[in-house]
Order: sequence, then C-alpha cells, then structure tokens
Amino acid sequence: MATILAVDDSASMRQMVSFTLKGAGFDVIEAADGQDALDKAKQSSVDLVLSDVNMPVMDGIELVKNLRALPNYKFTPILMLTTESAGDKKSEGKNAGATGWLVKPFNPDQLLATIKKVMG
Amino acid sequence: MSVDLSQFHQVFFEESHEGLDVMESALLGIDLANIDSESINTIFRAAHSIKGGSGTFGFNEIAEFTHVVETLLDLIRSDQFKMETEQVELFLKSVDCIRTMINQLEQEQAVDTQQAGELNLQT
Repeated sequence: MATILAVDDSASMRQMVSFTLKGAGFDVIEAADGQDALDKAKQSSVDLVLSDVNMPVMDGIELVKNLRALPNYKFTPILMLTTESAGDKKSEGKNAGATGWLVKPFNPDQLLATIKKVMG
Repeated sequence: MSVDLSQFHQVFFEESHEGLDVMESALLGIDLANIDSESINTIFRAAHSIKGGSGTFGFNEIAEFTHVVETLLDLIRSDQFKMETEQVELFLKSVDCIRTMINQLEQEQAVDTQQAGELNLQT
C-alpha cells in the first residue's frame, strides 16, 4: 500500500485530498505546513508527496528543497498544488526538485489521474 | 470514483471566516509608514487559501472576486504597487464583502455579487 504525504494549510483542502486518496486505497499522512511535513517525512516512509505552495512557517518550495536534501527523498515523486497565476513559482519549484504540478482548482478525479500517472 | 464535495463545505466556511478575521486584524494593524512584509504575506496567504478553496468547492463568485483581491495583494507584496490608506480601506471592504458572500452560502442563499462588483480593485 503506497503512502502519500498530503500537505496543505487549508483544513478543507486537506480533508478533500485525504478522503479522495483513502477512497482510492492509499494510506495518507496529513501535514499543515512545510515544517510539519518535513518532520513527518523523516519519521515515516512516504511514496509520494503532494504539497501546496503558499503556506505559513515553511512554504512548499522550501519543503521540496529540504526533502531533496534527505537521502530517502532524493527521487520520491513530489507534486505541487498551485494556481495558474503562479507561473514563476512553477519554475522555482521545478528548480527545487518538484516532479510535477496539479493546477488548482482540481476535482478528485483529476487528482487521482495525476497521481496514477506519476506513480506509473 | 465520485466524491461528494459538500461534506467539506462546513470546514471551508469555518476556515474562511478565520482567514477573513486574520486579514482584517492584519489590515487594521498595518503601519503604512513602515509596512511589515510578513503582514502583507499573512493577508495574501489568507486570500489565496479562500480563493483556492472556493474554486475547488465550486463557489465561483467568491473565487473570482478573491482572485482580484489576491492579484492586487501580490503586486503590493512584490513592491509593484504601493499600499496606501485607500488600499487598506478597499481591502477591508473586500473582507466584508467576502464575509457576506460566505454567510450567504452558509445560509444556502444566492450569492449577491453586486457589492463585489462595486468595489473597484483594478490597478
């Protein structure tokens, strides 16, 4: 069973993502910001990270940089959840090591389709 | 797979009200002579979250209006637009406007976009 780390400071988004992923058979660990996610990633084995960009404490870009510096997370797929308006953030995230993007707003089917594509 | 998104609406309403309160107190506490970039970031993040959630849950009137607010905040955040008393007042009115729209959604009323349309947030 693959484990997905879902990171978003919005509780409703976290719940929606988590509910959708669990319904599709994934194990889900939720985190409310980048630092929370980094701590949880270190404590567990995560197969895919799904992260918002704009968050307090540590944003999604910093999270990607920090995860890529960890030996266990060098090649783990990391998908960023972002809005279309955030063009420069996309290249920043890509440079930091993000695998791909899912543009907000997305629906549960789009979320699962993207994850299945990334996980092969 | 079909997910009923309405089960997340209440949480979205609650966090939106919290976000609007955060925006309001940050706006009221702003010192225009010495603007703290973290305050602007806080206001921006709250608006950004409301926009993202409202888009996801299909509340397009709120998503569209909050997008305009967010765009102006982003320009201020990146020093391309100056925050003056006029903008603070406009943002405070925008907060009221979004709050009214959220309340209407909570009470399952039609969302009135007239107030949003009257606020001139274009740069």
